Amino acid sequence: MENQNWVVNVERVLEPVLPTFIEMRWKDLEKLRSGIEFSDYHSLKKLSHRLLGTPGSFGYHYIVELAREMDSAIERKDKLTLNQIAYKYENFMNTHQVKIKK
Amino acid sequence: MNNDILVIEDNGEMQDLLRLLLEQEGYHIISAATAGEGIAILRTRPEVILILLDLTLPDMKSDEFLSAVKTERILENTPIMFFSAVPRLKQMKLPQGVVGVIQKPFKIPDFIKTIGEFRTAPTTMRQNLFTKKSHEKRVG
Repeated sequence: MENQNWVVNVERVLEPVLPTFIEMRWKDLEKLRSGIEFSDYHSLKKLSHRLLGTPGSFGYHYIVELAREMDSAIERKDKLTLNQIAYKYENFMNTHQVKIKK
Repeated sequence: MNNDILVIEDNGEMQDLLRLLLEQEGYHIISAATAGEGIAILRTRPEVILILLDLTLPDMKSDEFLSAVKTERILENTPIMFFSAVPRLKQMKLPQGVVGVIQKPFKIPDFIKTIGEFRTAPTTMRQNLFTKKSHEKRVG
C-alpha cells in the first residue's frame, strides 16, 4: 500500500478549483483524526458521507473507497480500522499525482 | 430562455462543484442549503426549470419536501432530479414529479450530458411531470 503510485485523472473543467479541493481533503484528514480521538462517530459519519460525494467526481476514487470503509468501521465503532484508514488516507494524499485530462 | 436551476444541497463543496459545472453550461444556479430554504426560494421564484434535490438534507426528507411543494401548489410543473450518495439510488422507485436520479459520486461528463439532454428535451417532456414520467434519467 505504501509504495503504490497513485495517479488521479482530473477533468480539465475542475483544474481551477483543484487547489481548494486538495486543501479541503487535508482538512478532512484533520477531522478524521479528531473524530477518532474524541470518538465522535456522528461527525465521522458526516465526514464519510461527504467523502462519498465530491472526491469521486474529481477522480479521487480511492478516497471514495476509504469513505466506504469508514462507514463500515463507524458502524462497528472500530477505532483500529479507522486509524488504519486515516493512515492510508494520509499516505495517499502525500503520494498521489494529478494528471489533468486533455 | 429561462435557465434557472435550484440546487438544494447542504454540502457547500458539492454546491460549489455543481455551480461551476452548470454555469459553464450556461445555467443560472440558485442555491439552498436546506429544504426549507429551497421552498422559500420557490415561493418567490417558481420559474426555475429544474430542481436538483439532495436526498439527505438536515431538515426534511424528500417525500416531505415533495408533499410541501405540492400542498402549496408552488411546483406543479417543475421537474426534480434526486441526487445522493445513498446506495442503490438508481433502483429507487421515483415519485411523481421526479424525472431522474444522479448517483454520487457522478462522472463529470455523464452529469453534463444528462443536464444537456434535459435542456434540449421537448418542452412537453419537461412539463407536467407530476402526472407524466416521460423523461427519466439515471446517472451514476
